[in-house]
Amino acid sequence: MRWTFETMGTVVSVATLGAEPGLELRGRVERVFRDYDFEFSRYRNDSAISRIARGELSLMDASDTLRSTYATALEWRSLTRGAFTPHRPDGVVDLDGVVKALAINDAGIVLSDAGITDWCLGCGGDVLLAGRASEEAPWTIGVADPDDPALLLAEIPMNGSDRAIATSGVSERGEHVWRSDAGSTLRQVTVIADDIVTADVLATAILSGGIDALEQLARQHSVEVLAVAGDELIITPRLRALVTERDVSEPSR
Amino acid sequence: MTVRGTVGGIVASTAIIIIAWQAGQSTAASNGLRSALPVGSTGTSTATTPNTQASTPSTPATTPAAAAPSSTTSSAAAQPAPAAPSPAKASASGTFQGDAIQTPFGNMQVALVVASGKVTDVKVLQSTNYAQYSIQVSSYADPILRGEVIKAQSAKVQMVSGATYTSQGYLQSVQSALDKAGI
Repeated sequence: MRWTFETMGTVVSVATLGAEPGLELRGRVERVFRDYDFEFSRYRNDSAISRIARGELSLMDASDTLRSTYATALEWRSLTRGAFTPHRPDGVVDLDGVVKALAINDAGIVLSDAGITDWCLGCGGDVLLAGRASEEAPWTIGVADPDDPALLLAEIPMNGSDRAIATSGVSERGEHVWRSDAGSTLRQVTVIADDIVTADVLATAILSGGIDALEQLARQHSVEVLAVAGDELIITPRLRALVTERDVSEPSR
Repeated sequence: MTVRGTVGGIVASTAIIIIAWQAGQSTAASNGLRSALPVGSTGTSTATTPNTQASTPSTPATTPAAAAPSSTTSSAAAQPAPAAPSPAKASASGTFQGDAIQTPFGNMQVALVVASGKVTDVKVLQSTNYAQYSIQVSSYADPILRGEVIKAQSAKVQMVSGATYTSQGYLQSVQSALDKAGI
């Protein structure tokens, strides 16, 4: 079964194996997103993040959630050597890069804690999942084609421990990622990881930092990457084995 | 040139290795190697700054090395690479030891392990501190063509990962079609 709702300027879809979750649980999942949106949306004048941007609220006086979110974002800035940053070029604090992923993460905890073992949650192109799609098949995630929203570039069976997949691109919302490498030719970057915050942040960082960042971050964080560079795809070995029929001779890591 | 192109494609911007390879081959200019790289080649260096530092002093170092084959008193040459005298074939296999070259930071020497025309390993026989930063055996992620990916069918997937779409963009997306179908 599946249900959808709008939040954070996009749409959340939740698929579950078996019976649809009850109204009360659905309400709790939706509230996770609304709470984050209320505090962090740059599109709402009354959000805490907008008040910080206008200088009306200092970070010191902000909520624990906001400060720990900012700390998470700064930690990722260090880990990616600045390829990911919670600051816009004009210096305004922008936590969008981690907020959506944190909301997805928390919503997933709500679902699992409610005893639902097989679920798949998509929010604006980020996907987090648990369990399987059916007894026979794993959850299988399509990667959108940056050149045609009606087509898929690849389909990825989510076996094993990887639970999260996120994609960053320049195709939607214009060039919304501030590129740290002006020479980056990457148009879309998909990252598969154990958790959604890692997947989301690294997809953004690699899109921003280019191929050098891809090489470095994919190894460092043991994640799988599928990137679109021009008309070519760039893919990490384990993922390549999953999405192509070619014999893979590369040594496994 | 096939092998040279492959080697270049794999070691790409690793300036030190290109220089050492030049020493063994003595013909290919580093520019030629670079221009032979496939577009989107992922051979990269993880540490930009040390790499830049290492490549700067390598320019004077190539002069004696490149001149070595024509000189009877080669000072830098160790064992010439076996593949050097004849044009290498795409199926070449074996370990190819490059000449030792002198740089202001110390001697540099590498050996390439080639299996069926593809470099599978680069062994550093002598290196400077700078070189350790800039050597990367092969890229972790490979470039592939779209056609190599199994054609994806939306009927088989439950969710779509894509660049953040707006509520409006969602309407045109595969995700929206999946949600409508309620699969």
